[in-house]
Amino acid sequence: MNLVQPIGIVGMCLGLFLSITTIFLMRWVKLPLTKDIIVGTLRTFLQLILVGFFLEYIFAVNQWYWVIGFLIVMILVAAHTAEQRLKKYKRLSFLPDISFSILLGSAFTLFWATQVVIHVHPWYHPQYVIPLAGMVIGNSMNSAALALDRFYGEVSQLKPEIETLLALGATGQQAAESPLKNALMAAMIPNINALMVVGIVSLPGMMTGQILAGESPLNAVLYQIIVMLMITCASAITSVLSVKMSVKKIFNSAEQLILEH
Amino acid sequence: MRQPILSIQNISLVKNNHPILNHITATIDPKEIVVISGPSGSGKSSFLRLLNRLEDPSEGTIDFHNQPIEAYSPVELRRQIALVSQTPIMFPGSVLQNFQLVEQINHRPHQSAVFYEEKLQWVGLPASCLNQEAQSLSLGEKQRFSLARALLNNPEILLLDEPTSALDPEASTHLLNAIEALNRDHGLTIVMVTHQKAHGAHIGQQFWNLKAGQLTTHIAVPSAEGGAS
Repeated sequence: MNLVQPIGIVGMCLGLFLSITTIFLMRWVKLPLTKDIIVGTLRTFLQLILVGFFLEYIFAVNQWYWVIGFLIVMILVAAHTAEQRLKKYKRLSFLPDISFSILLGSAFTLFWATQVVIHVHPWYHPQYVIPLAGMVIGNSMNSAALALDRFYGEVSQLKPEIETLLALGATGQQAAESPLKNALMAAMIPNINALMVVGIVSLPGMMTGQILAGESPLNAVLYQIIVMLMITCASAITSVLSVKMSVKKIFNSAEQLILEH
Repeated sequence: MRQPILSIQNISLVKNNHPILNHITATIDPKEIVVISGPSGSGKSSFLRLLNRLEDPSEGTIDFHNQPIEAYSPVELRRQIALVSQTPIMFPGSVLQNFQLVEQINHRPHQSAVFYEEKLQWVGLPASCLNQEAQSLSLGEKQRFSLARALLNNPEILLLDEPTSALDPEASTHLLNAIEALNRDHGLTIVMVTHQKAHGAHIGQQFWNLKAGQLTTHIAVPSAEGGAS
């Protein structure tokens, strides 16, 4: 079995040279990003080392409730992060809708991949469930934020069009069809593009990690295919659900457009 | 005595703590033409939006056929009380496709091209417009098309917001005559907003003047049938 070449303290310090290069480059082009790069680098170290210890613990105790608890925290953090990107629509609360959409999208794809495709045993095996969930939840978060930002942006911009349709006898659902479709396109296109170029332009992180860890490239590829399909499906479920729920929010019971921010 | 088709009782509209309309009370009889004039920002357009419930008043009630407008489904009410806004909105596609969109949202089958051509001619547009890109029409043509499009739902009341604002005098006269014909031949009740008093002066039976959200002048001209009071 191949053992991964370990990275020691010296190696990690040398790795920091890449951050220093980034800082110099940004200063050279006069972008005030030094503080952000330093904070970002420190956070990357701290967060990943903490999660490393935490995952070591979860893998060691190997209990379903630890795994589920970790997934719930991931979903809530992802929903909160997506909501932060929609701050400009301050009158609306997105957290429950986004949490529910990510939960449904990731639960379905995770169940299908781990139980039907890979036959993970026991069903909560943290070594499989946590990394797969991480990738799916992270991408669902991006899709939800993209879809909702585009949806509310279009609704604000297309208010006269929407009200013309309402005045012509359309329901809110009918009047919001065009912003809804455009929002879903915006959310799905990055995922579909990723499906198109994977392996040619990009070698995804999970596959790279597995190959580095000594796994056969072919097996790594098979896992990556499943991951790509999971991400696309979870993003679709999450964005459709979150936008559909938003359509109900922008109209009141009198089918009046009530978006104000 | 004729029952009013619309009865407006003491309505006010406040938006962001800013009063838009102030205690307006009036009635409109069936088949009547009401011309509302007033300077920009006097609340004329907001008033029309209340009549077909794109917005609700902050205070007061509006009855349609002696029933509060809230008693009707909003979609059904807007089919009965059609609003043609001042800025005409065209959807992507041809004029024909814009007509068909209205049929589609109201779950009706598409009509023949001849049917739509007649509607266009009726508002003074050539039948050849039918296959033209709707966005490529001039502003005046768009205004006229909007009126034709609103008629597809066979409304009882037509709310027109500055329908002649982008038209030259000749086209304006044509459209006003068409509006009068709608009232005369099809029995439509018409509420028309204009910032120029002269527009619609010869066709109206009630003349209202709005100033800073208040109904300052209310003149009723008795019609031949004795409709207005």
